[in-house]
Amino acid sequence: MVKVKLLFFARARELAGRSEDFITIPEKITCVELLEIIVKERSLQEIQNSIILSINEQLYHTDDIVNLREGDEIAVIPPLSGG
Amino acid sequence: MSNYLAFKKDPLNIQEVTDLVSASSCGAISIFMGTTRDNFDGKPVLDLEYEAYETMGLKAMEKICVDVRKEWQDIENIAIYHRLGRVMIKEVSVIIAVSAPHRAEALKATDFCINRLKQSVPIWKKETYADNAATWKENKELKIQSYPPKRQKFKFDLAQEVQADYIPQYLIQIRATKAELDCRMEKFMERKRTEINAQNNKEFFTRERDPEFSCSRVDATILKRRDSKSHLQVERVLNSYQNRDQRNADYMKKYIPSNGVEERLQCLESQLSMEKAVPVNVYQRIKRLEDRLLQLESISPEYIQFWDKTSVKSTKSVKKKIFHIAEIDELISEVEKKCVKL
Repeated sequence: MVKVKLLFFARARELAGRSEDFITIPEKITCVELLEIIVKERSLQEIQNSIILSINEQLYHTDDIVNLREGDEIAVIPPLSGG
Repeated sequence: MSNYLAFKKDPLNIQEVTDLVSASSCGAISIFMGTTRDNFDGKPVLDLEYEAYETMGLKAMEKICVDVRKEWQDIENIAIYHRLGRVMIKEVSVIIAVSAPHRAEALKATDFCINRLKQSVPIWKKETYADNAATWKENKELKIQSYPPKRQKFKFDLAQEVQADYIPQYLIQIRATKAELDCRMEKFMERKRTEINAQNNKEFFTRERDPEFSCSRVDATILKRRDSKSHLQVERVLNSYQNRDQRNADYMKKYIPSNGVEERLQCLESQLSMEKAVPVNVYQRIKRLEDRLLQLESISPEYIQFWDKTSVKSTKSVKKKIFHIAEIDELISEVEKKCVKL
C-alpha cells in the first residue's frame, strides 16, 4: 500500500468537496480499479463515465497496469473545456 | 525561436503578448483571441470561470509548440496565454500569437494551436447563466475520449433491415433446440470415434486378440501394404489425361467441348438422362430438353415443390438486425474482458 496525492478539477472538485487530498491504495493496480476506488471513495458516481486519470501528469487508459510510488500525483480529469 | 506559455490570473494584455512574439526577421504575426460570449444557445451568460491543471497544462502547451514547429519549420515565436479565474463578458480568455516570415504559416499554425489547445490542454470552464444556474462545459473537439469509452451510436444510410428469402416451413428438415443439436453432434462424434477405433483395431491386428487383455496402442503390429513401401495405405490413381503439359493448352481438348454452349447442353442432357444422339440444330435440341422436363414433371408431380419455387414465393420479409463492424468488435472485446476478469 502506498500513499498518493489526489487532485480534483472542475465538476470533480465540486463533487469531492476539495481540490486535493491523499489516499492509500495498493501499488500495483489497473487503471480501471484505481478509477473505481476513487469514484467510490470520493462520491464521483455522477461523472464516472466521463473522467480519465492522469498519473504524474501523464494520461492513462483503461487497461494499463500502473506501478504507483509513495507521493505520486493522481489527477481526476473531467472532459476538457479550455479556450 | 521561443515559446511563451503561461496561465494568468489577471486580464490578458494583447500588446504584451504581441511584443513577446514579434521578431525582426518576421513579416507576419497571427493572433487569435478567444473572448467570452454573452449567450450559449440563446441562454444569457453572465460570466465564465476557468481553472487548469497548471503544471500539466504547460507541458501540454509545450507539446503543441513542438508539433507546430515539426509541421511548419519557419515559425519563429509562439505565445499561448490562457486566463484563469472569472472572466467577464467580452473579456479575453485566451491569446495565441505566432510569428513567421510569411503569413501563410503563421495563420495555419495559429488555427492548429487553438484546436489542439481545446483538445489536449487540461483547462475547464464553468458557464454561469443569468438565472444563476451554472454548468461545466465540454469541448466538442475533445481528443481524449471519455473513460471508459462510451459506445458510439452507429448511423446507417440504409434501413437496418434486410430482405431475406422466405423459406417455407416444409423445406426445413431439422427443427430442434440448440441443446438437442449439440447433443446430436456430440453423439455423432462419439460414434465416429468408435468407428475409427474399431477400424484401426481391424487394420493393425492380425492375430486373434482377447479384448480383455490386449491394448490396441501397444499390441498393434505394422503390416506391409500392397503397392506401398511402408505400413501406410496407398491410393493409386490412373491418370487418363496422361501427360499434362501445361505449355500446351490443347491437352484437355478431347474431354471438354470447345464451345461453351455445347458443354452446357451436354451437361443438361446427361443430367436429364437423355440419349446420346442429338439434332444438329440448337433450337431443336433445346426443344427436346423442354419436352423432357415437361415429361418428368407430369410423371412425378409430387416432387415439384422441391424445385419450383414460383408457387410458394412470398414477399414476407424477415427482420434481421445489422451490426456495424466496429459494434461487433466492441461486443467481442467486452465479452473477452468479462472472461478475463472472471
